[in-house]
Amino acid sequence: MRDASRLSRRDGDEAFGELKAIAKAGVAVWFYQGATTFSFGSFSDNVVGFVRAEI
Amino acid sequence: MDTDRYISSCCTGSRSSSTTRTVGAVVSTLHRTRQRRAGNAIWSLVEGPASRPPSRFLRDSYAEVWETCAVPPDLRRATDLVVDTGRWKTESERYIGVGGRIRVRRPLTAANASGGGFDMAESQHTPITRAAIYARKSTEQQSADADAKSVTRQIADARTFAATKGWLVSDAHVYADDATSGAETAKLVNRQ
Repeated sequence: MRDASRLSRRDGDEAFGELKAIAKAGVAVWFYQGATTFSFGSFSDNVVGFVRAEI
Repeated sequence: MDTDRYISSCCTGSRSSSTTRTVGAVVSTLHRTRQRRAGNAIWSLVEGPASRPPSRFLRDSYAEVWETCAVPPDLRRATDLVVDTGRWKTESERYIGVGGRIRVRRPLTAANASGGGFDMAESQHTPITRAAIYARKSTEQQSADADAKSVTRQIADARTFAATKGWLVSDAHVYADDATSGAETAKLVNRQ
């Protein structure tokens, strides 16, 4: 998908949780806009992931 | 021109000598032929070890490539060459592939990746990465045309990105959210 905000219309924390669930299932989530992958687990990843999913 | 030289020339796409120019033309011919036959699939030659005899699948693939490439008979040593799907950005640019190992691939199309002619075990290559695309338009977008373009553009951009990564995207795994909220169940029911 383009970026993390594309996944869900829900709030950022819920969207981030959905992305985590997908990633935990073994799927590599790529955001083509920045050629980056979804990551989570560290403080910075979680905060940044939440923000990106929100906006 | 020995076989190794021939292969190397194919892989680099270099035009530094008459030999490589010849190879470049051959690959170009192969490139066009494959594009006609299998959509976006592009075949090229890569180097591989002669560690085991070619299987029937390999031999058939070689024969097809030899014919298509017009490879001279003295170079048709099937155990030295394999067939790969690769990507050539242009005829003069380097071959973009995951080099180093013997690999044989059928063209990367949805049909053969799902079993039609693609033998994973026999080909001894790295598995195809399958990708799904998800696109969603924003509810803030008011214009229906703009919305459609937005989702369409997202899918197109994602396909381009997947192509650069060498991933396979099946149409069955392209998902688009056209602004029907999960809460708007009436719209979802009406779709059925």
